Amino acid sequence: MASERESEEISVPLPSSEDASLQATWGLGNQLFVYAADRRPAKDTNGEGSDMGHTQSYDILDLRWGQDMHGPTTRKLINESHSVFVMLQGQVTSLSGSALYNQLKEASRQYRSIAKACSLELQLLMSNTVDEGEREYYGNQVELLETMQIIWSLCEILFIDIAPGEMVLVQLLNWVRWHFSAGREMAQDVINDEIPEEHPAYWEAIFRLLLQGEIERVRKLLSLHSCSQTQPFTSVEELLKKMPQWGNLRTVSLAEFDLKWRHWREECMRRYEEGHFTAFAELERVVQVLCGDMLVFSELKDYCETWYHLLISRLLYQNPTVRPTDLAFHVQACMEEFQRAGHRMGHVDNILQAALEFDLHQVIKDSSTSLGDRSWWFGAHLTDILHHCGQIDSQKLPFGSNLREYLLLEYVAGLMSHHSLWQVGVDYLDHCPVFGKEHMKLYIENLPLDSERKANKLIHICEERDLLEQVQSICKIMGVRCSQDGRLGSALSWFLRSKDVPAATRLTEKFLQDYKENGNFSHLDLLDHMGPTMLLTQQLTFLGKYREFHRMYQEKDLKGAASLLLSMLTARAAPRHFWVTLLMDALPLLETPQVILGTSQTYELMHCLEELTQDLTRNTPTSTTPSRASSTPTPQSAGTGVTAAGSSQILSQRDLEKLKLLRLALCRNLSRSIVHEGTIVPL
Amino acid sequence: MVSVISSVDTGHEDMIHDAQLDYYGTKLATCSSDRSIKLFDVSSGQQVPIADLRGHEGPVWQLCWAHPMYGSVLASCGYDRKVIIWKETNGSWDKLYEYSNHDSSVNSVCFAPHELGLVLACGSSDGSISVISTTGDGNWDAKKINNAHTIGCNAVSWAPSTSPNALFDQGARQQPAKRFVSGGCDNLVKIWREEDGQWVEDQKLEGHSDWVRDVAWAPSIGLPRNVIATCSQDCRVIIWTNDGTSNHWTSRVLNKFSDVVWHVSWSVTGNILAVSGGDNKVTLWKESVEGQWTCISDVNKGQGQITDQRSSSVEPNYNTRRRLDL
Repeated sequence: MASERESEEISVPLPSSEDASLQATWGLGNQLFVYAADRRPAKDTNGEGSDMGHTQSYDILDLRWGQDMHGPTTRKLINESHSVFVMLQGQVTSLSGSALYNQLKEASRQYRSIAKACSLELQLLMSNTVDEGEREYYGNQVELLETMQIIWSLCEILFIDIAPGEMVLVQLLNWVRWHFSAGREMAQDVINDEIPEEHPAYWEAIFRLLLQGEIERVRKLLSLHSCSQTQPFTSVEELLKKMPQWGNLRTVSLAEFDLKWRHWREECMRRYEEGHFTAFAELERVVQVLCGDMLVFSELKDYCETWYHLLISRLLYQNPTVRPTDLAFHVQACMEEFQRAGHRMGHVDNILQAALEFDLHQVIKDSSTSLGDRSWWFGAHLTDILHHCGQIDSQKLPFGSNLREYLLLEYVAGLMSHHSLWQVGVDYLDHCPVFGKEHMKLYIENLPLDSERKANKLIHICEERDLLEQVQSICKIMGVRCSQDGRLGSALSWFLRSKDVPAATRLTEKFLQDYKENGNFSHLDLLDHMGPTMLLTQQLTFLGKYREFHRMYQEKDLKGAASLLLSMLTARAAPRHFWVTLLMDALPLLETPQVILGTSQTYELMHCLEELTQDLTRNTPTSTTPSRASSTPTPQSAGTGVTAAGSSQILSQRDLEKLKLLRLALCRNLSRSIVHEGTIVPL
Repeated sequence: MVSVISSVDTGHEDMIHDAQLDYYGTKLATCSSDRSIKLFDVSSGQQVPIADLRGHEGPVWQLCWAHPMYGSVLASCGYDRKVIIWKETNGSWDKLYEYSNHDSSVNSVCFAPHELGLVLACGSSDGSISVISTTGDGNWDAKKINNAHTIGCNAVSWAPSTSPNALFDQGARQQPAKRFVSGGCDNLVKIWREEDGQWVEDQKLEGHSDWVRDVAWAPSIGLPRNVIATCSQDCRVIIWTNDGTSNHWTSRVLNKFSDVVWHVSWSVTGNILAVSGGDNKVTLWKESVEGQWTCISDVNKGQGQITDQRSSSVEPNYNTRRRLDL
């Protein structure tokens, strides 16, 4: 397959030079950044920039391919065929037998009609524009879409919508009628003419219609002739009327039809040989067509426009019951008719020939290589249907999967580099059983998370597909980004979502630090609604409890607040560096008119205070030097703040003052509670 | 159809040596002999300069972006024997770390897969390779593989972290493999593996007959195989494959070019290999359904034009024949 090809050559607008060579960097999907780089990287020699900079370009070019379906109109084609594709994949798993088969036929027709709709829209755009370049662009697109439809319909007739025991020619006739409409249009003009027979296209219209088997229309045109009542005309009219039509004779077998047809043709030949029509040369030609005369088809071939139309026309009058597998025998002769007249056979001709020869692989391969970028759309969708119809062997190819998956992956690659079509790509990957998931992982890692909404969407997509590592990665990226932007609340919720313990711990410390510095909490709604997620880390649990303490205090539930505070200290849940703050929070509870903290609770607080002071004096014996004492409340560096409980901490003079006050308050509270509780009765 | 969407004037004052897109294709970093690194925002289709990083005292050879979960982090290496790791905070770019423990030009930098943490490998003309890592607390650790390649190491590339046979025996091995490949002036390609915290030589692949210029480990696409592309001054590109379980590597010459081959790089899904060489071309190679490598595109310098952005739906006029491979 490979050797017969040459590669596509792309010239990029960079000045050619002896000193620089082209280099490329990959973007996402079908994208390359190309630039001129130093020809000799000089990594080995001196490395200093050479003075060859005079004629150099330091530009970088953004090169993309497979993007020409991303225009506003063709994008509809992508989106609409996407729905058909997804629905069909569902039906493939849920249906079987004829039910599935009907859906496959239906899907094939839908793809074609989507292409048709797109082509019509482009034609409209083309007729509305005055820009020459745009016209050309739309023209090319329309031509491509029309070509695809021709190939697709033929494949549909031969490989998808196969009616057993039917005449394949009936469908093939419909195929040429659908794609070659000049005859019908001409006929309309002729009919509208005041004197139809004098219209220059009168006979051409008749022949064109005749070659497409449009017998009724031919009869109509002939009846408009001034001589229509003469014998030769009535004779032709009779022959045309008698011509066996498969559609009217559905009840008969193919063999019976064949017999009827042979009888009819014999009659045509007999009348022709008897010279019934010699007075009207054109009429005689009509009968020659009916007789299947070889020569007349050569003469009329231009009315067929293409060899494949000629093929169908000839078969109609020479061998209407031809079996599909025998079509190939007639191809060569028809092609030669056109080649003799100087026509060159192009890609489309080769593809159609391959289809008529039942060489599906060749059809798909050639369509993919010669039909422009949209070929991936064409190849991927057509192959998908053919695959489900069992027309393509699903064997594993050396690259690792089957042809269907190969084409789908190619199609996806084009979608992934688009800012919104990537979502369509995801659904296609779901139906690539071998590589889909791994490709998805690689793409997802490279999809820009430009908003929270997009991040959430991606997470949802990953969760649905059980790509948990990717979910974690996205949450982590979002968390890091939020925390760098100073949005700590959002950052924390992202880290909680990804259950990222170290990051959540670091952030919790930052929250506590903020509180120590500012005396209030930010992101209250987040803290108040953490629920069980607060159990992720010890620090976070503490933070949650601490916030709860504040709420209780604000709600005047002083007893509850006091016991929560105490439990945070005694359970050693609080980081040691936060103890001063916690103990100071106890101060107002000790100063209330009524006694909140009982004796035992006061003892415990005293114990904690003692533990803290001992700890601090042991670790930082010089911490109370005057120079230190003048510093502002909590100038601890982030480094110390982050390290967990038990580490050394420098205490400011002010903190020491505070603790002195606390000690005093504790003593007072102790005496009050003793009196209150009456535990020690005065003698 | 291939079209040139836009052109970025980098503003460098001397030859560009490397250009790298970040993970999302939104930021482009370039480095040059003019000792600078330039950053551009390319997300809108326009190119907006973001930063001009100065810190190297000689030509800057190569760049590598870290995974976005570590923030916006870029590593650079250069002739000044330094590796510099840059980080963006609140829109401004600063040096995060500077590593200067090589005795000669540092030619290549490559961040490890994010699953391994913030880890970087770099190869130097002094023949050694360093693996630098941080735990995120500001402390950096470096492990050096001395004499990895005699005369010099030109390129390093990490193995994807997903074990290549993840698709086939799920849950069999959770520990991501720590491996990378390097190429050097000893004409050798070597694979390194971390074992008990030390880097050991896992494989020595002999196939090139001149200096190995670049190495690229292909992304994992779920098949039980490893694929490495290497290129050399012997004008050849070799594709090395391994079945993912044995220690046996098979080599296959992708093509013999008419000139030195400088660079090889894989597309995101590893389905296309871009090769650039002294023949002044970038060629794209793709594995066909039959498993054959064929050239699908040939990018060269010439008289192309740049598509007008405003009529982006209109195809450019310098397109040539389209050819794709099956």
